[in-house]
Amino acid sequence: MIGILAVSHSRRLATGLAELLVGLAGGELVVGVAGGVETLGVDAAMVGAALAELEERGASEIAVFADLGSAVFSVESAIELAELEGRAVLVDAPFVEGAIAGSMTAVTGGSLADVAEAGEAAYLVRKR
Amino acid sequence: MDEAEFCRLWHLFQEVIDGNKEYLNSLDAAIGDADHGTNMARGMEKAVAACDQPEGGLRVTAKAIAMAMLSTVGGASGALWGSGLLKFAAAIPEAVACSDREFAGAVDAFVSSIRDRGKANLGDKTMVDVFLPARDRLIAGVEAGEALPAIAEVLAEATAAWALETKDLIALKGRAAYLGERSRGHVDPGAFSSSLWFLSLSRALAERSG
Repeated sequence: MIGILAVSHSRRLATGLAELLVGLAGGELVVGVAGGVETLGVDAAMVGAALAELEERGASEIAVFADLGSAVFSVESAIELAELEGRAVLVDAPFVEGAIAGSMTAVTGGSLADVAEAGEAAYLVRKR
Repeated sequence: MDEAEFCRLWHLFQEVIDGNKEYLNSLDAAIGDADHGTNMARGMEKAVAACDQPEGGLRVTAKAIAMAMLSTVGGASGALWGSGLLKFAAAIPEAVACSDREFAGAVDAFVSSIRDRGKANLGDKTMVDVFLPARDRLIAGVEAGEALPAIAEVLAEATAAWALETKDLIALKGRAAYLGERSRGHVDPGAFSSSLWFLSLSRALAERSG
C-alpha cells in the first residue's frame, strides 16, 4: 500500500491538506502529516518520525508532498537517513494539487512511480 | 587536524554565532523570516555538546554534530548544514586526527552535499557563494603544500568579503527568490553565517601550538 505524507511549515496546513486528500481521493488512503509542531517550520527528525509512523500503519511505499524550501530539504534528508530511497520519494509537485493527483492515483491502484508522475503533471494543469 | 582542534572550531563557531545572533536575525528579517540567528544559535548550543565526549574520533564527533543540527536548527539551514555534515563525517577518517588533505576532502564532500540538496549555483545569493570558492581555495592551498592555519587565515578574510558581496545579488534560490529584484541590497544571512565558520576555523588553528 502506498502512503501519502503531507509536509508543511504549518501543521494546520498539512492537516488541512490531509483532510482534503482523504475526502477527495474516494477510497481508502493512508495519510500522514509532518511539520510545524510548536512553531512554524520543518526538520528532518519530524519527517523521519512521520515516515516511520506511516510504515507502522502499513505503508510499504510512501509518496511525500512538501510545501517549500526547508520542508523539501528536510524530506530529502529524512529519506536518506532512514535509508528509504526507492521506497519513499519526494514528489516534485505543487503541494495541494500534486498531492490530490497523487492520492487519486494511489487509491486507484497506481504504482509509486505513477503517483509521482501524476503529482508532477499537476504543474501543467492550468486554472484558466 | 586533531579532534581537539576540530572541537575548538565548533566551540568557536558556537560563540561567534551566538555573538552575531541578532545581526543574523536582522539580515534574515530583510529577506526572510528573521530567525536565522536564533535557529543557528539554538542548534550550535546542542551541537557543541557532541564534543563533550572526547576521543570518539573525528567521524563520530562530526556525525553527532550533524544529527544535532538536523534536529535543532530547523529551516533550510538545518537541513543543509546537517546533511552536509553527514557527508563530511562519511568522508573524514574515523581516527582522532586527519591530514590537511583529508580535511579538505571532507569539506569538499560537505560542499557537494549542499549543492546537491539546495541546487544552488554560484551567484544565487546563498551559502554556496561562500562555501564553493572557499572549498576551491582550500583544496588549491593544500595541493600547493600551504599550511592549513595559513590557508584558514586567508579564508577567514576572503569569505567575509564573499558574504558581503551577496548584498548586490538577486536571490535565485531559497524563499528570498520570491522577492526577485527586491532581494537586492541585503546580505544573505546563510552566506554570512557560513563565513563565520571559516573565521572559527582560522581562530581554532591559530591556537595551534608549535
